[in-house]
Amino acid sequence: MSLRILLVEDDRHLSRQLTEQLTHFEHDVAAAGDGPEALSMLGSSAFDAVVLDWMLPSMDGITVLREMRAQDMTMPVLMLTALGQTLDKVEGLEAGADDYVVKPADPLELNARLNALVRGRRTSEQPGDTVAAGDIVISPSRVMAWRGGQPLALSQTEFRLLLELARDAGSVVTRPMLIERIWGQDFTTTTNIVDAHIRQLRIKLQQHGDDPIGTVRGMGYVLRA
Amino acid sequence: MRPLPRSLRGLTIVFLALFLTVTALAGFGTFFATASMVRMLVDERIESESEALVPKGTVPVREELARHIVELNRQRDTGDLGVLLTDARGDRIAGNASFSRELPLGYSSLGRQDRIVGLSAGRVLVREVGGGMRLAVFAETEPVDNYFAMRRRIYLAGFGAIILVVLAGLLAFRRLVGKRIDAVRRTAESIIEGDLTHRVPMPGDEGEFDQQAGAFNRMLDRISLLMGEIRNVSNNISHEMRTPLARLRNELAMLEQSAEAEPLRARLAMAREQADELLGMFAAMLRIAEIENGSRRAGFRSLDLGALAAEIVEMVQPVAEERGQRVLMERADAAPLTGDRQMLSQLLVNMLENAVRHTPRGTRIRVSVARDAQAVVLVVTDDGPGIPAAQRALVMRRFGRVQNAGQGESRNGPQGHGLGLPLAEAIVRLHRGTLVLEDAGPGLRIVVTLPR
Repeated sequence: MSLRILLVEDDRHLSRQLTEQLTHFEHDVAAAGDGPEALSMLGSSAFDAVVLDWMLPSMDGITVLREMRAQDMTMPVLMLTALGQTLDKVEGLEAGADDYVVKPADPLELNARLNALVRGRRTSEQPGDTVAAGDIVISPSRVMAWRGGQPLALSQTEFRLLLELARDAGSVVTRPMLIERIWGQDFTTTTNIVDAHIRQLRIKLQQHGDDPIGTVRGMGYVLRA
Repeated sequence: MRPLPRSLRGLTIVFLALFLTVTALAGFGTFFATASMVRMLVDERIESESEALVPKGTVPVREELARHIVELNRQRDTGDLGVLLTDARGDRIAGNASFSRELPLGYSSLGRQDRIVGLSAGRVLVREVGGGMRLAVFAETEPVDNYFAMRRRIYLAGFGAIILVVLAGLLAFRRLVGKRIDAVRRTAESIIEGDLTHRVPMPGDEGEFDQQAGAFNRMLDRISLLMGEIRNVSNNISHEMRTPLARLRNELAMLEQSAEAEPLRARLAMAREQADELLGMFAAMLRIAEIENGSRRAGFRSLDLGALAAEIVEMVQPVAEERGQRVLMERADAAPLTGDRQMLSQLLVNMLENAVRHTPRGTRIRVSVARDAQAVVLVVTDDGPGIPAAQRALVMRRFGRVQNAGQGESRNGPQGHGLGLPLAEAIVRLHRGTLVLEDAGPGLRIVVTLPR
């Protein structure tokens, strides 16, 4: 998915690197060095998403974000935060940020999250809806899933794992994204916790067909759409 | 010999005991000294009376002496004085007193039980005065005895008042000193917990306590300044190194994704993973620093540690199963406490992953969360090889590692960079709790106690 992205980052070195890396994923990237410049660029052209650094000179990221939301700019915003700013993170989410990545950002992670954000905006899910990916159908409200019409006996964690993969079916969901979405927090793990759960999920899915989950090396997992 | 007690209470008790003993001894001493002085005076009196009747070295004539005695009794007021002259057979010759028993020669004391006619208790002097005659002169000590009875009461009241004053003073002093020591201790404890802003309250009277508190506080100012500098240095290093390292890592990750990298992909992945490990180490260091500055307490919410533990056990279970281990939630009391949910999850993850990573196939890992009136106790026990007692302090130290023979990984991940358990301990300290490593015989037991 090619996206038009505005990158707001005052560190020129980092800005150049991120631009290069996002361009590598076929996104169209425009860079702004501070808040006022970002707001003027947002006013003059359309963007699919904004990557916004928290710490900016003269006008900090959260002020830029509040200003954007006040001006009815509704595109997804992903904030870059320094490590150890967990409390700021809550403030950022409350101010209308859609996601955040701890600096220095992993380009693959950043790309996966941007794709997920934009896709999430395009397919707005209604409560009571089912989510479908290939021959898999999931009902979040009834906490049930089927493959090829056959009900799947999943544990709660496996169910949520499948649901998160299905919501972004066709694109990569990274391990940190899965940990965040399933266990509600970002902690560091030193064992392959996500992989172990995926393996169990795969076993149950393969009872009714082939393996619909792809592993993307160095990135995460993708469920066949 | 047992050395002197060093506690305030012990010293107080020893001092009081000493004080009471000395006071009692002084009281008894004075009492007995006075009593013997009185006896001496009475003895002198009866001696002089006796000598007045029969001067030393003279042999009195019986009739003359008898007349003397009658005269003495008539002439002088001898209400408290008794005289008795007896012959060789012990029969009375003259005198106004009579004794119920035969008296020994020399001085002796007589009491009421001796039933002296017309007289009460006192001292008596019996002399041989020649011709087989014996002269007994008796003087009452009753007025003095009455005075002694009074004296006992005076002593009790006087010494009692002194003891009360000293006791009250001692208790007040003990309280005062205890309070000051307590203030210093409380300050020290909150500093141990990581709150370096705490200071000893100053009474403001410029006395010794004030000066001591002032010196203590200046020392704390200095320590917090130094600690701040050290922390900044290590945090700056972590920060400064993290950014270029992350760029390097990201560059590797991008290379790994490119089509041209196909022949080198495995080696690129290895290089990228090594960079990830280094980044993980810096992240853990910065996280410990973040915890230690205490600002995370602002984000404390009430939560149930029992439920959280069950959740994390479920999360880690598949990893353990793949390694042929079992994780059991042995007990999960509803354990409400106030804390940082994300940090406590990280604590549980670290404790469980530590057990999973450093024990062999077939190990059973048991988790329990119990609650009592004051605390919530979280225990993770494994029946693996354990850590020798001597090495337990080492794994709690940053970058401290224990090599377990035959099990490649060191004992305190993440990635064996030596920060897993120190991070866990920092989280526990943030919650004002304690983390203790114990021998589970066989295996390791980690006991975390968190106040409710």
